[in-house]
Amino acid sequence: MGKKILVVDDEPEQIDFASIVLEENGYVPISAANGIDGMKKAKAEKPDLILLDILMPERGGIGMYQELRQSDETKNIPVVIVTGVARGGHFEEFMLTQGQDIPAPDGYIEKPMNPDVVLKLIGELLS
Amino acid sequence: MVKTRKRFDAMSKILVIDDEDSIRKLLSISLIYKGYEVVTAEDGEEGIEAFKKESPQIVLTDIKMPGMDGIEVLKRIRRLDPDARVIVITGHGDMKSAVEALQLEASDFINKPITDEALSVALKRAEEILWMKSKLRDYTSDLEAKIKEATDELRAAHDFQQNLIQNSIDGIIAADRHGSVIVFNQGAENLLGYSADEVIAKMQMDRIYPSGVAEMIKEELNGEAYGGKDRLVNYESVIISKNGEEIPVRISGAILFDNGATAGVVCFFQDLRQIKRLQKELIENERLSATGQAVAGMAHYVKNILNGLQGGVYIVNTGLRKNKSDVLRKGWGMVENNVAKISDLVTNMLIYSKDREPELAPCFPNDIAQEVCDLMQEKARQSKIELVRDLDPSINECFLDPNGIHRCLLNLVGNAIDSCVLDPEKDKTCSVAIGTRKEGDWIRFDISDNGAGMTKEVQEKLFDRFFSTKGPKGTGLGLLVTRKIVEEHGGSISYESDPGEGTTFTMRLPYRRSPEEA
Repeated sequence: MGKKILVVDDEPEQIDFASIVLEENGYVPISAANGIDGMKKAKAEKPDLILLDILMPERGGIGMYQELRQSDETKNIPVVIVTGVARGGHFEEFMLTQGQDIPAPDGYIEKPMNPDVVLKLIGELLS
Repeated sequence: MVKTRKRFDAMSKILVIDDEDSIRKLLSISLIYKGYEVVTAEDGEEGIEAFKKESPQIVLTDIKMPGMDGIEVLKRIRRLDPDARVIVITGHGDMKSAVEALQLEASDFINKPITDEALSVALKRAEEILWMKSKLRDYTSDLEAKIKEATDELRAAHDFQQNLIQNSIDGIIAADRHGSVIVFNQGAENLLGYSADEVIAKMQMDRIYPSGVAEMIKEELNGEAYGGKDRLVNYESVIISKNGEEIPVRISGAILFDNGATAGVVCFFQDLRQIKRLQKELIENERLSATGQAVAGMAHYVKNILNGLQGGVYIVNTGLRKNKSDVLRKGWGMVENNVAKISDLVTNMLIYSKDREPELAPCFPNDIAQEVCDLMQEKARQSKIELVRDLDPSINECFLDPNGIHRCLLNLVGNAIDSCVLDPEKDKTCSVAIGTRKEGDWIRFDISDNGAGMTKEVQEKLFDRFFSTKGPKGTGLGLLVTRKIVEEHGGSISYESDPGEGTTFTMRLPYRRSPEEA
């Protein structure tokens, strides 16, 4: 049984793409289209890793990340942040952890998702 | 201007002229006692010399003296200083001398033997007259000063006006009632290239205008439109310089009147060349910056589609490699989807950039609305948004550009759904309604949602080129294209929006029963 990966993205196409890439490489993808649904699935399905789109409407990605890190059930799940803008991670890290005692995410990947980069990063985080 | 005023209680200087030593002494003592400064002289000649030297205000002189008598002294003093008061001292009963003295404008006369009372009365009268005269003199010299002051002011005002006219950056030209130039300032010289000497009293003012413009300006001066009758405020026109250049100017002018009759006209010309050039630069800059923003936004949007295409291709390849038809289908779906987005973008760009006539064709507006609802049903369902149709059955076949209207409705319904998705109130049940209504010769389409609504800032930019609230997911072309299509139909688009309450867009289109109807 492959490792379970939760893909949270508001764009169905992105979910499809990531899911197929993951599935074809031996992972079991599950998905959510928003932060609320994502949080529910994170708690219920206990994924091994979460791919989280930071740019979802209404602080969706940021809010969900903070919630993940503050909940005992989910705080140890590795989170890879998918960002639309290449800013080297500093801005995202600031947004995700600002003013609170929240650890930085485990990794970042930029959109467009390069399958090789994603798979390499996930492989490293899960080994 | 303040002058020292002599009052009868103030110290005055008195010249006493008498050949009798005892009288001189007696009078001196008495006068000093009354507070006067006293100068004495023993005869007429000495008296006149003393008068010249001491300039007393009052002279007391005996009439009967050896040598120059008192009458002669009186005459001379009156010549020397008409304001000096001369009191003559006459012998007892010498009424003839007294009358003569008074005729010669002596101030008063005192009979011998001199009594203190008579002296006091005479002095008091003299002082009063002196005081009044001094007041009169002050008043007169005040008046003179005031006249001088007023003259100075007038001159200063005139100089100021001349300065103002001469140094004004605006060209100032005035003409008399015959149209001949009478004022031509430095600004006008700079503007038009003529020197004042060349034009003043030598040129008609009309010469500076291109043909027909002078008449127009006269008409506007007489009319009410620019600043009221007989005035012209900020009228933009052109004038022609000496070397024939047409100079854009803003003209303000007024007809000058003298006692109700037209005396001439004065015009102020502001050189607009600089302003026009800046305006042009500004428009060009704005255009460049809008173009730059558009290109950047477009690049972002296209990149997004390209990403989708690449993702689709990757999946297709995976499907092919692993011979999995379901994966292949998903990948192909992504490719198709992104090809549709590109095609949509290009169509929008073409519609937006070209002037075109709507391709009117007979169609049923309600059917178009139905089609759009069917297309958007899935998108709405995914976001748990209810799509409500409220179509007016009395709308029949009419002439519209069906593809254009389809595009408009798709844009507006898509926006409405996005607005619901963006609504931060997660528990709200969102719905989007499409309504059609026939209103006389018009068809109305209302697309309303109860989603996020638009803030004032968003509303202000709503029809800005390439403004989008959707980041890289929007081109900012949707509403522009929608408005363009609606306006090409001769219709109008309006909206109402409250943040948190939702938005309604309304399109009004002419209900044409034939393609010829305007």
